[in-house]
Amino acid sequence: MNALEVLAKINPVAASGAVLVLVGLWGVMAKPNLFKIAVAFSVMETGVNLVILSVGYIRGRTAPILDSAADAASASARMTDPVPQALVLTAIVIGLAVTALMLSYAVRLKAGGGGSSIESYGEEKW
Amino acid sequence: MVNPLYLFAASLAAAFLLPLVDKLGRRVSLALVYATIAAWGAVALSYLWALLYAGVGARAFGTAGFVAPLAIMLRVGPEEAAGLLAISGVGLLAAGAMRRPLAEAPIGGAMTLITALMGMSGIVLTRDLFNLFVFLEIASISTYGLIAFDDRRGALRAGFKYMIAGGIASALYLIGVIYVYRFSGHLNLDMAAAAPGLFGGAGTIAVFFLLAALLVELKPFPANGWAIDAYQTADPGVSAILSGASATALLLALWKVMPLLGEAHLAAVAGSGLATFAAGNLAGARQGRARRMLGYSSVAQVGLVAAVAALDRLLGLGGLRFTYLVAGGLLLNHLLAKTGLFLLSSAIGDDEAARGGAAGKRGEGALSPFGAVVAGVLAAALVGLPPFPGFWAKWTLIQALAGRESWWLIALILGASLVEAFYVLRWLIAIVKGEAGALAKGERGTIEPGAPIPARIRLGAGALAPALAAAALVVSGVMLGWNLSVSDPLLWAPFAAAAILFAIDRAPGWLKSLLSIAAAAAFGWLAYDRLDGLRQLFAIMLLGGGAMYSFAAMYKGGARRGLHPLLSAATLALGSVLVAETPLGFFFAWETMTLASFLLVLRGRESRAAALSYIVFGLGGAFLLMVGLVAIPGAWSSGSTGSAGAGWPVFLILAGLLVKLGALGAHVWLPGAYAESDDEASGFLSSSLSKAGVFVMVVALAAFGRVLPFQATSMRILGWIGLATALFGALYAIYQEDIKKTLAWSSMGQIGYVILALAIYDQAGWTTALYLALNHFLYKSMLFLAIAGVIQRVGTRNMYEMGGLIKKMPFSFLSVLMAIIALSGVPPLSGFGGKWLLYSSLLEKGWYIEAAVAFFASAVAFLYLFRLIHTIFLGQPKPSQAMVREAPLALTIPQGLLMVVLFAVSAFPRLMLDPIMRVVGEAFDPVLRFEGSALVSPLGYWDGTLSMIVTIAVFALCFLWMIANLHNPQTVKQFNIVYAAERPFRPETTHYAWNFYAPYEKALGFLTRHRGERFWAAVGTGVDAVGGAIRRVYTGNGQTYALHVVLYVVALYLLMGAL
Repeated sequence: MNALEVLAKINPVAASGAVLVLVGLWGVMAKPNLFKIAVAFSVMETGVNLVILSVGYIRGRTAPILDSAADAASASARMTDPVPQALVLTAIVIGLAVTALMLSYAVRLKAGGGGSSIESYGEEKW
Repeated sequence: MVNPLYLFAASLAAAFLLPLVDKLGRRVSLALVYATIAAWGAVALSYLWALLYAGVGARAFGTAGFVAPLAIMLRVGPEEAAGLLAISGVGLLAAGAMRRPLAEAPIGGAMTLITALMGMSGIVLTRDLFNLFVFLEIASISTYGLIAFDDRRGALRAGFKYMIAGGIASALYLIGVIYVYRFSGHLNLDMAAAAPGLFGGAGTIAVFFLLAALLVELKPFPANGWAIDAYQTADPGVSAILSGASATALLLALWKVMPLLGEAHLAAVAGSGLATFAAGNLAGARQGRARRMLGYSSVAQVGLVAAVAALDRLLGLGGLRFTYLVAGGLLLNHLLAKTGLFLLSSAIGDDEAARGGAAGKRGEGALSPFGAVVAGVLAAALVGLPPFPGFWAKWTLIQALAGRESWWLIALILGASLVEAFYVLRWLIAIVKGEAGALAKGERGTIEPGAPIPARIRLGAGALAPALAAAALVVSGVMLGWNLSVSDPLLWAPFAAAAILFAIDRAPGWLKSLLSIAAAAAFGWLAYDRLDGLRQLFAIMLLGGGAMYSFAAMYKGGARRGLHPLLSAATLALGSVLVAETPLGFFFAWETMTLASFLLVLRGRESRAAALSYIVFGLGGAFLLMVGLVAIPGAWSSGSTGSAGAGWPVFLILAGLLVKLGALGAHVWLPGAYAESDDEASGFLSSSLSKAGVFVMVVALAAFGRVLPFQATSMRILGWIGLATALFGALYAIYQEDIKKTLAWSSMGQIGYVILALAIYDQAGWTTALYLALNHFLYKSMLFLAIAGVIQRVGTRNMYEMGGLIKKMPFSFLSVLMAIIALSGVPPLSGFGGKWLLYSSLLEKGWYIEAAVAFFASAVAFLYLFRLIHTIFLGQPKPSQAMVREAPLALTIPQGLLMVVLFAVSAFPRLMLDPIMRVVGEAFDPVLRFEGSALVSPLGYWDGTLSMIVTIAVFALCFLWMIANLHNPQTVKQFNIVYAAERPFRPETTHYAWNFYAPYEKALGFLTRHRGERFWAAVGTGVDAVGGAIRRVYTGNGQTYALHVVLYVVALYLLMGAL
């Protein structure tokens, strides 16, 4: 019973976001392939975005759109928080740019005759 | 004030228009780039003007017609305006230096440059946490692009690692920002800081994520391998932007979120920053590649700035003004110096130079004089030498930390600074000198025929950006110094003299000599009112000595570039040590002297190693002195005497001075510095400059000698240190083949007697000390001047390659003869008085063993003095030296003058002793007094005039008797001797002067095994090994770096929990 109560208190969106972040982090640190690292970053970013969304979500409220469900007067009492949703949009765009740049780096590195493992790019050290 | 939004619009428009504009040609598009960056700079200047001079307050700009919390706010205050100026300034310098690569690479490079700088400016301006994230990402993404804009392989590799670390940091930041919003209800920084929700348990963790992301972006140890790889491989212009502009932006971002931070957060920032400063510098010491070394230095400096800002909030070091001065000063110093050095390393094509490996253009020769000056300014600024901003910041920081009694922090910061000084200056020496001192060899004209003429590396247009950075450092340093009320023109005179003489460095040497002498004389005249009796005595040795050596410098023809400015600067710096009235003023003068004399040593022929150890020990001693000064409130204020507060800090002052004086144990810098610098510079260092340490010791002991903890024991130990220095200096001196090494060790020994005499601490002892110091100045000057002439004429420093010069150089012989009679303490010359005074005061004090050892040491000293005159001037003349002439007038005139003075003060000791006793009488009860011409002590009396008369009379009688009894004299020719028929393999081994004191070496050699050198070499190896171990962290693998970032954040979190 107790365990169930604890489980019920966990925000499922935030929890799945956190899991995705950790999965992504694991991928970044454990998969040496350049392209897999880029994918792992995408996974991590998705997780972060879920976490952001989870903060704006308020149980039992409606989407932040002014229509019949909520007019301007009662908006703040009946809507979820729209700010995190706006932030997520920006974060998604930025994530896209980073992923694209990372992939183009990987392509450049490979096209220059290097391997696809990050371990073959360790010349600069100490 | 201009609304900064226009600038963002302009930057974005320019960046997106560039591909179109590029159709008109790359010149046009690059002009657009420069114009955009310059526009930011111009607006930043207008902000600064409005804020600082027009009295306008800081202003916040809303966006999209709203203000917070509905819209993003941009704030323009003093720190923002300064940050914008720094970013655009660094950007402009770097972009100027990158003109060629930018022109050759695709236009994307120029676009990312504009957007990167815009992103950094946005980080500085915004007051919105999420907007800060957006600008962080704009700056980061553009930087990723910029790192590899010219498609070089190394930069691509490093860029990928950079992206991994940056990606993790931005994920952390996003999580932090959203929970800060969750707990405070605001994204606006000022509103969030006012919200109570942030300071609970959960809020603290949210802020921690935010902070951890910013800290990771600031490249903390050990999570900074990715950044160092990028510094090393990217175009140096890009490295300059990363190290200067990006660090400025991120530090201001950290500064901005500081109101959100609790004590535990601040402690984490301070700890991480200090650890980075220490570890970065240790790892840097092991670097052979210049840019990687600069990278380590960069992360270290940024760590220190972050730590200072946090420490102020934690310990209350001095509030906003303190942070502006120290953190701002350090940051300004770092970004200008690092920008300049990165661009300089690009201009000279230098990457392998730092550890003495030969590669790139540097292997071919030394920097041109102009390039050397620029490099010197940049390196000196980075190391924190005066008059640059880093110096003022360091002093203020240490003073504030001493006020809070944070001794461990002081030790950590100064220790790491010393390591940084070591490797930065090692690099400076390598690039300035070229291989094996090519610079000085070329001038001497003694280069072997057939050897390639050393090339001077001319920087051309590549020197422009570093020179501008150097000029900015000078201007800002002078302004900061003025601001800290170091405004006494006499303290700045050394820099003025150096600048003027450098400007006319092509002029003939005699003109510059005369100007230097005039400068010293003018200084003395202007300072005369401020000199009390003690200072007047020292002014004779310091200013007079400097002027004399400036005169002597005429003995070599030609412009002697670099010598006169440095000699004059060092002389005037010695003068300003005398006139300084505040602790900061004094320390400023002291460090100025250290800097000038270091460069003077560096100018010598084979002086690379000697100069490096000179400056490292000089700075080490200066740091001890500094801590002692700031730890005693009111130290060095005029007329300060022992207060109860002064205790052990006095020991620090004494320790610093002992290092400067070359006391046994810390003497390892001394023989190299005195032996390898130019011959007249050696004399200056030994006879004049070393007296500055004596002067400060006199002042320090006069003020605090009576409140020293365990006064009697401490003084006795000090005396033994002096005695050991005297004994071992003499012991080392007797086994030298190199004449200048002999004189160098001899100087060390003679200063040892001065220390011993000072430790006696009564009227007799101090009279002895000052008398010995003045005498040492007289006879060591004569020796060095005479020897300079000998070396010039015979072209070697090895004594066994000389001989029989008495007939060729009679005047020099006479000078050396008088000097060694004086030095060895034989009547009738003044040295006898010195010895008499020393033994009387030692016996009077009851220090019998000390007296015995001192007597033994002076007997040892006689051995090397005998060898000096015997092997150089007596013995067999060398056929190769048949044409040797007397030394030039520039050397013999000062020697003649000194001989007259020496004779006068020997015949009439009161000439010298009356002023000394007047000075000493102010501090002590009289023990000695004059009765007529006899100096009376409780143990006996000494009459200099009488002994002079007796000696002359006895000598004259013997001489007359010899003349009268001379029947049929026969002149002995050089070859009236019998030769053995053997031809030795190594001729010098059969020369009588080779290994002259081999029997004594068998008996006493075990004493002279150079344990001091071994000890310091072991210390150096230890530091080196620690640095080597630290840098093994940086494996070069991007995933290891990612692991470092994660572990760093976890460790930071755990530490914060523990605090």
